[in-house]
Amino acid sequence: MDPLGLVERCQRGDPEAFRELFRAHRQEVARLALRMLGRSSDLEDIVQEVFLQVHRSLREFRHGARFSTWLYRVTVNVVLMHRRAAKSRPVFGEASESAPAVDHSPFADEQVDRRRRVDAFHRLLDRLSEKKRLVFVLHELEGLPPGEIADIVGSPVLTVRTRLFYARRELLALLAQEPALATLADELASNPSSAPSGDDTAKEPA
Amino acid sequence: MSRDEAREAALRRVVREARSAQPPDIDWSRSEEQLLRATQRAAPQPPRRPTFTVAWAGLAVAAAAALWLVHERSGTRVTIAPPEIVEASEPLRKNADQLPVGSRVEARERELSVDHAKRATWTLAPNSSARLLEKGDRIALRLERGSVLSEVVPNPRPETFVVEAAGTRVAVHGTVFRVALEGSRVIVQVREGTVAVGPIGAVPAFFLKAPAYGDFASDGRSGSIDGRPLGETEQRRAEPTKLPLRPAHSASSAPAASVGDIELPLEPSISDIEAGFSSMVDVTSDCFGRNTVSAEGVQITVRTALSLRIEASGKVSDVDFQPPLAPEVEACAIGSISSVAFAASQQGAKVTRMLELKR
Repeated sequence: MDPLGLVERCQRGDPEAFRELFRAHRQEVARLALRMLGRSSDLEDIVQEVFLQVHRSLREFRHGARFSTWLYRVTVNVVLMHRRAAKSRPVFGEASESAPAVDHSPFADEQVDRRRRVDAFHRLLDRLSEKKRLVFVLHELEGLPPGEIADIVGSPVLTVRTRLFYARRELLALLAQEPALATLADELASNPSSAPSGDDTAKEPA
Repeated sequence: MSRDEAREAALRRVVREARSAQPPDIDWSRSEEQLLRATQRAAPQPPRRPTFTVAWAGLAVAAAAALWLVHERSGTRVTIAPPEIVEASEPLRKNADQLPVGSRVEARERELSVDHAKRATWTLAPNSSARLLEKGDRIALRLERGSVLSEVVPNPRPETFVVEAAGTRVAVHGTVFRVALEGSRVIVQVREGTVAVGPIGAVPAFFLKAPAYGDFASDGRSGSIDGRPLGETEQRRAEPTKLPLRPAHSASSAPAASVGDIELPLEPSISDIEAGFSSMVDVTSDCFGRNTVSAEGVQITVRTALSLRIEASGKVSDVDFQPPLAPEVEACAIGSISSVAFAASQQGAKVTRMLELKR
């Protein structure tokens, strides 16, 4: 599907094209929002808000720009606004999403451990500054190159690389404070063969 | 494997695990229907005009804007300058000193902030535009499109910052709030402080205390606050036939019931409070000047918070300065302040303002 063709039809006011655009990109928007937030509550509202913003601003989208980058930028802005608004709202003992569901499959324990580690990782991410967290998520979880991240966040590439470097260093320093991750590091130290092979994406930025 | 290597390996693994996490199942068909309904409700926005067209249009409306401003704001210290079109190219911050009154400010793909030094900063969201109406004692802007987030430094003077959007006027003292034009609605989100909302040219009818979300008709006469529809009483206050509010500083002790059949507002209006405070600032400054001795050429500056309890009847009680002023200054000021009366209301109000006194 040609995203720019869809965008052009949307810009001409074709509601069916907007529906198609939503269907084509809703999953990636939801995934990015989940990775930025670390939890799934409000995810549906956020996706709707993103596409409302897209609908309002689509006329401003310039051809020649990458639609995916533009959509990332809209999503990032909506999620950041949501995070800021959520900080000012009182929290009424929201049930933890990390409560393991009952699972009787042979890999249930491993799944629960993995879930705990991912939750712990998001807690660590939450302790980073907003700017560092954002570039780390876009690079390490979304797999975007620093150049594209620079376009999304409106900063020079060098700044993006610097933020990535410090984000990673802070995460490594904080790792020991999360028992689930400290245990993993201990296991890997005593039994290196359990370390995952390949895919070393958390490299030092060049 | 060393400890550092093990931590790096642990981070790599958990990053990979986090990457594989998928969003939960969402009822996409329901979500899609809701979204399409919402987009249909939104009024269609006019297509963008090329820059040169905007520039000519700006020049063309200059005369009209000037005439309108003179007509609408005669008696105010507004100077009409040729409008300037400011676009969101670098730099994305503008100093308001460089903008003549009447300037149209437009943010395209990025936010654009305008700074009024030590007084306020307003930030246009992408694809928004506003016109600067006043920047003297009061800063006023008219939101033409999109949304504006305003951060206003507290000031003892009344209503130092005003945003107009469609037929609605949003006035504040010191606060952080956002005003957005969404189709035919005016959305007001208050993050800090209190704002007064009402039709342009009428007494403010609605008050939003942070955190609050107001959704108003474009004429500012009806709507809802935090999802609660505004009652008839509140909407009646927004009518051009205003409530016969008792004038401030009347020193009357008439009880609330004497206002007659008209239901009283919950609190005194912000305009009323600010007008009262304005005279209190003058009184306190005068007392401070008369009762403070300073050597030739030495300026003394004191900062204090003045807190008042305004009774339902409009009378002032519990005047307090923190930190306290010199006893003779307080005695002088409190005597005069206690004689000021506000409009009657259902529950009165507690108000605090920072004062800066100089001698």
